Amino acid sequence: MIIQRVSSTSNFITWFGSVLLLVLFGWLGWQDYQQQQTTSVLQKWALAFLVSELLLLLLLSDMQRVTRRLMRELQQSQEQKQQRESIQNQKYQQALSTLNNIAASFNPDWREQLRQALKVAADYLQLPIAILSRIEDENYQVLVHSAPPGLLQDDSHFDLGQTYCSITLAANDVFAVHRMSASEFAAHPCFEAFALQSYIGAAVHVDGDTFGTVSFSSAETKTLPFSQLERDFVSLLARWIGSTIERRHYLEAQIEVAERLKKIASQLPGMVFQFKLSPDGSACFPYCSDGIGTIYNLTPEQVKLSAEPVFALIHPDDIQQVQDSINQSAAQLCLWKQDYRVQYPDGEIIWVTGRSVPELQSDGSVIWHGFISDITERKKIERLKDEFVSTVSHELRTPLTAISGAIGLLHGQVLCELPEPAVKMTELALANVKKLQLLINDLLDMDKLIAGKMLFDIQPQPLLPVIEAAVRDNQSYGQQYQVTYQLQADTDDLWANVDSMRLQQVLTNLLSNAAKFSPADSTVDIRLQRQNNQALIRVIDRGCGISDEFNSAIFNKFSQADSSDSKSKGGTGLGLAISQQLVTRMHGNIGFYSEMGKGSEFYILLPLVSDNEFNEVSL
Amino acid sequence: MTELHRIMHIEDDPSIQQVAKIALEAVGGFTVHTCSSGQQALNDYPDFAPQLILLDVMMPGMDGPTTLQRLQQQYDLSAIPAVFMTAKVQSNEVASYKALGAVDVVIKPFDPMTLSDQIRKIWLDFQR
Repeated sequence: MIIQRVSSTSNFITWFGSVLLLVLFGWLGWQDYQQQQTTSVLQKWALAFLVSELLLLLLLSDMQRVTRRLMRELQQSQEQKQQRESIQNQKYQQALSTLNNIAASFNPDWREQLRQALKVAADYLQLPIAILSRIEDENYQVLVHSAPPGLLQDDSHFDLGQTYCSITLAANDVFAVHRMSASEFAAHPCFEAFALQSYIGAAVHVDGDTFGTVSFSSAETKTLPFSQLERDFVSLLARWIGSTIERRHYLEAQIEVAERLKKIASQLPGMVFQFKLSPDGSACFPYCSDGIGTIYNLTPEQVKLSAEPVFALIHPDDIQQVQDSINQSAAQLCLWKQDYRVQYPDGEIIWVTGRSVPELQSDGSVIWHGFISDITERKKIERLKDEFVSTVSHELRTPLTAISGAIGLLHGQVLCELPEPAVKMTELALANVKKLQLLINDLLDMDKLIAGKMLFDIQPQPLLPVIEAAVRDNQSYGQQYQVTYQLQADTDDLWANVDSMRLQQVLTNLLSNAAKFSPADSTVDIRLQRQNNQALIRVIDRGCGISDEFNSAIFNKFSQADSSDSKSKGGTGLGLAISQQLVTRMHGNIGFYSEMGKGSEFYILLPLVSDNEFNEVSL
Repeated sequence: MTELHRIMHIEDDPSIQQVAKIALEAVGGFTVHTCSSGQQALNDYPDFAPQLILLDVMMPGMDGPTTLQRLQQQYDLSAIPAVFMTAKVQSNEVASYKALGAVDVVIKPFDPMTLSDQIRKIWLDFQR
């Protein structure tokens, strides 16, 4: 293009110059001919024109030639540059695709994966010895290598000082030498020992700490120094290796956790599980220990995608209860706790107990983590225990009736007069028989309550008469402790659904406790009040109070503040446990406040009969 | 109004038999005929001709309610009140015993010194 323009410009100058010269020499020749009037003058000027024309043509052609040459050289250098760039590009592409191949490779064996990577990188760098090292203090360990056969072995150890890698670590950058013998490191022990001429290496970091190095070396001298591209390549490779090792560590830790869970779970007497309930109602066990075999006779795989096989085994009488409890736990995100039966296809039934904690997931599903165990034995023992208590109590009662009757007759001096000390003895015997009777009554009550066999005769009725009767009946008991009961009712029109006999039993328990623990000559206040839609019955004493340690246990079976108390105060330790059960069965609450040394207040809250019910009753 | 003299006591436990006998005879001045089983009661009933029957609920073999039923089937008990003796009862249980034909229930363990008064009161209530 440029050359064409140059040649057309020179053509133009040639023609234009020639015309100018012709006009100039023509005019000069004409002037001269006018003065001298000879043809020789014309010849002279014609010759001069030809000479100058020739000179012009020579000059122009030389100029054209020089320009052409310059242009050609320029073109050539441009082409060379393009060629160089494309080679560079190719190298970059090669480097990138090598790294890409390395990153995309996967082998379950981490050593082989890294060895593959080292080999690919070594081919790219054209350095046959590739080593990934683990460096701890001065110990250099060949973790993985790729080298011609027989040269190296994995897990061989060297002194760090004996390797170029000591320099790499110290440099904290890519360290590269293409001709060791000509470098400042010619005296390094590594060169003396292994005579490696070319070396490139970089530090590998794992979890922010120096892990080791990745290095490539050869006994051959490299013709050209290492390029920036090659340095970047090694640096990137070192980072990839670092993150690969991190991932491996993470994976191994996860595998270890899973293994640990499996081992621990296998030792548990039951199944550990993760149960998932999706918003569409489908359920499954994403995780389940092998213990599912002992509970449901299933494998974890059988319930991984659907919980159906499990639900199919739950006893038909219990399935509704189990499903309701799961739904309730999901809705309220509260602990799931349930005892139920599992029925195997052969008809065998076992009792199991399960508990698990729900967690709401972002997708609306709920996942529980929990445990289910076989409690068939426990249920059997519980039943035996209940039967035992029941039988023993009944069996004790008959001889006790005879004993109390016999002593009662002796004490009543029906058969003969007794001397004074003998009367005292029969009195003592009677008092103790009475205690035994109370204990057996309590035991039987508890037994009935636990077995759900206690029948309640719940009727809507005013509370005040029931309380008055209880206070009246206990007056003489209070007198034993020189304690008086004082009843104060805000209103006499509080109705509740209660079994009057059972409520009296509870009140008797509270009143006798209050008397027992009150100082002599004190009063126990009994109040009946309305609190919102509940009736509040309070029994307030001025006794010793209840210690904090005992607070939580007070409604437990056989609990008394301490054994010395039970000796001095009497009682079975069942009273409050029974009272709580009775009040609960009447849909009420029982509780207490207490202050050490000042006294205690026990209260009963009972739901009042609503107006509707009340009207029905009045009608 | 007839005075109560003859009481038939049906009870399997010999100790309680004795205690009740003394309590009713020595304290109350009644005449007590003790039967150890329901069958014995059925046999002895015509000879003794009790005015009141006191019977235990829980007995091996024939229990109290069955014994009472059989007595009612064999003899005319319309003028003879029957009283059950049983362990601490719940209020609704008393009703069920009364439905079986008993006029009242004496709770075990009983107080031997007041048992006679209790029986006499039941007798008087029945007479009225």
